[in-house]
Amino acid sequence: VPIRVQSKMLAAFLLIVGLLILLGALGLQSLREMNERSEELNELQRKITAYRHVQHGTTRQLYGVTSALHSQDDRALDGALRQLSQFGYDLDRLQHVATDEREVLSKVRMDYERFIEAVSNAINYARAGRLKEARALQLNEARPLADRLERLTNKLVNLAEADMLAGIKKSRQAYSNSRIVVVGFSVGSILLALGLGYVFSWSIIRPLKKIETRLRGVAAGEFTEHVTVASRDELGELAANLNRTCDELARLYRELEEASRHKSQFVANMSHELRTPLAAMLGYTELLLDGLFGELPEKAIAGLERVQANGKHLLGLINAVLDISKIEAGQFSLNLGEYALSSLIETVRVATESLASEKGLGLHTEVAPQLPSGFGDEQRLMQVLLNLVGNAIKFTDKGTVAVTASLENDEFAIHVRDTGPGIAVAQQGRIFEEFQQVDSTDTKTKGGTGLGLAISKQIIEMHGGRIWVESEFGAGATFHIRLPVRVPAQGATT
Amino acid sequence: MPKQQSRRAFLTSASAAALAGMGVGGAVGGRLSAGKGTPETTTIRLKKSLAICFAPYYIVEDFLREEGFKDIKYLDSFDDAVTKRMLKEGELHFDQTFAGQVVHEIDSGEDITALGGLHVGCYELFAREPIRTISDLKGKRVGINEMHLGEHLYISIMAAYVGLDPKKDIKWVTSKTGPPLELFAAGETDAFLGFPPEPQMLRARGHKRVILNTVQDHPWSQYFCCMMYGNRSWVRNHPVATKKFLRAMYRAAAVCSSKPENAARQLVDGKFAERYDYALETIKAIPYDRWHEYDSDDTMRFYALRLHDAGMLKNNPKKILEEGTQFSFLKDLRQEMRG
Repeated sequence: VPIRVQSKMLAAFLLIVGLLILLGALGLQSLREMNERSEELNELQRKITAYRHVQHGTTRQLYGVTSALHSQDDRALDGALRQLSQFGYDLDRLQHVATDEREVLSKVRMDYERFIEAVSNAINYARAGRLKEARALQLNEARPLADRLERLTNKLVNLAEADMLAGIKKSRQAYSNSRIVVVGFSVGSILLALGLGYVFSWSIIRPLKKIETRLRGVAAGEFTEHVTVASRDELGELAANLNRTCDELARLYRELEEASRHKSQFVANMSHELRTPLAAMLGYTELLLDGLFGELPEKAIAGLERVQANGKHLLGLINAVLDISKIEAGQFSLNLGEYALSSLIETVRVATESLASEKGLGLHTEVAPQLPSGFGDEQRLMQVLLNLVGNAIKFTDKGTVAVTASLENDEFAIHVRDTGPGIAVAQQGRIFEEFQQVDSTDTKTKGGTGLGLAISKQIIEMHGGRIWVESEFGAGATFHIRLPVRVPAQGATT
Repeated sequence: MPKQQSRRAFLTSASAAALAGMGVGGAVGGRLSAGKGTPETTTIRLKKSLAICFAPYYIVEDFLREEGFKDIKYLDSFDDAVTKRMLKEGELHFDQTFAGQVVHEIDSGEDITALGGLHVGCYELFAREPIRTISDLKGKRVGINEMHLGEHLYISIMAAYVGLDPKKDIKWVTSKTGPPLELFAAGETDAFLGFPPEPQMLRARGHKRVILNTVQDHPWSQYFCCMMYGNRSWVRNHPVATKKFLRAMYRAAAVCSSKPENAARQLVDGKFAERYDYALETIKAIPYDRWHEYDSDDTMRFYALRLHDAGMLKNNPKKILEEGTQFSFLKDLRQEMRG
């Protein structure tokens, strides 16, 4: 039976609450025991006070009788007799509070009666004027009896004190035990709470982290892996749903990939099929313009030149679409070999010089001397540079286009700089995407497929390099390329 | 010329007379003769010391023979550590000392059993001016033999009884510096708790200022001072012999009370005391005949409580009484000798 997270948390809280209740109960029990000990100690204190009263009474008696005998005063003798009754009152009090010391109390009572008798007899002798006998009685009987009574009451006091000490020790022991129990339970409760918190948080956080990692993979287009969550609670269900979603996405992705491949293949085929007749059309147009079929009227020549120009543009478009479709289909590859960057740039200059001249632009190249020979696809690199320089000439109305090359940190650093209108910062990131162009009147009037930079970027990256642009709107643009001198062979695929 | 009595005849008659005098029995021969049964052993070993208040201990030999002991020897042991070892190893069977020390030793785990009090107070506390009370001992130098023995324990108890902290409030001067009596006489200590014959010796040298006498002053005078005790396993294994030893001791105590001169002479003759006058003074001062009036059990309890007050007791007084005392012999003897 699956246990819900809610049920688990409720059980944990109930356990902690149970421990707290137990702790409270133990605390109450300790308080009750301490209260009992306190009452016991109070009782013992009452006893000791009563014992001391009896002791003092005995001493007072003895002193009273001695004084009375000495003074022979009737009032003093009466006072001594009255004190005897008071002493009896103390003794009754003693019997009331010390019910558990019967044996000693009976001795006290017996000695007390003998003491009363001796003292009474001494007083009677004194009243009768027989002072010598009275004093002898007081000295030989009353005093030893008083001593004995003192010892007996001392014994009662000592017994009570010993009980009190035992009670205090018990109380301390009870306190110590209570402290151990309370501290133990408190520490246990804290550890249990921490342990449960840890276990529960991990039982929730660990699956969540797994799910989060899996979702990140999904976001990155990885649908094949599954997340494993052992628990059968809500998180387990969530993980299972995520796995099902991944499976479904993977299936859809495979279908999309298949469809994309078919589309690219179709485009490639179509481009190839379009290029063949177009090449024938351009060839025959060239022949016509060259007068191979006789002299043509001026108007026809002008029309044929338009046909030739548009045909070349169309061929460029088809080539670009073909390249893109090859890239998407994973069929685009580099033809690697040794090349000289200086020669490559010179070729580009020669190829584009006439275009620049037509627009009245200066075209400058500057290549650092003694550059090492590169290893890469010379034709594709030339395609990139032609694209960049061609764009620069196309979008620059006055000023210059400059190409520089040098070696920086074992990489070729190539810069294509123009004095054209520049590219807004917001558009700089988009121009390397397929079918994206700078949104301006120029691009609309000057045409272009919007594929050249996308293809260039792919080619440079296939060489293990980077391409980016720096520009300020209205202040020209510079395209930078960083190109490894030697392309690692395994990196040269899409 | 009167016929000279034998020592045994004298002692028998003296103890009978003494017991009759203190009202603990119709002192006729039969009742004072040896107790019933024969002891488990006829060998008994006692300790010899120079404390005069142990007088009954030194004149007990004839009574022990009457009780059936044949091989009776006094072993010389003036050192407490040696006495403890001898007791532990069974070389010594019985000894007696200040009850507080007995409590302390039981509390310290010594295998001894307290058997009964012998007599009340015998200590006298000498002090120089301006000391008048125990409270005045605060900050003063007090001479003792050793820490945790008789005098140290007794003064600590007395100090704690009036609220002093014996560990902090008193400057203890032990015998390592010199004999305590001599240190006091020379003015190097302010107080000294003397034990017979020391008080007599001090008085003879002109030091007569006693601020406390445990024979007379409360509450100390209400309890036994010296307590007899024995090797625990020996007592357990020889109950008849133990009881007979106690009986002999109380009979000897009765003689000390009734015929102090003879007892004193016997101490000197037996080399237990050096001076007859000191021995006689001590024996006369101590009420040996009143042992039956005092409570050994309560004495042990009292000193245990006081040692506890002084912070010198680890165990509960009740536990010490339960585990370290055997007063049933004493109770029986009290009834038998009374009857």
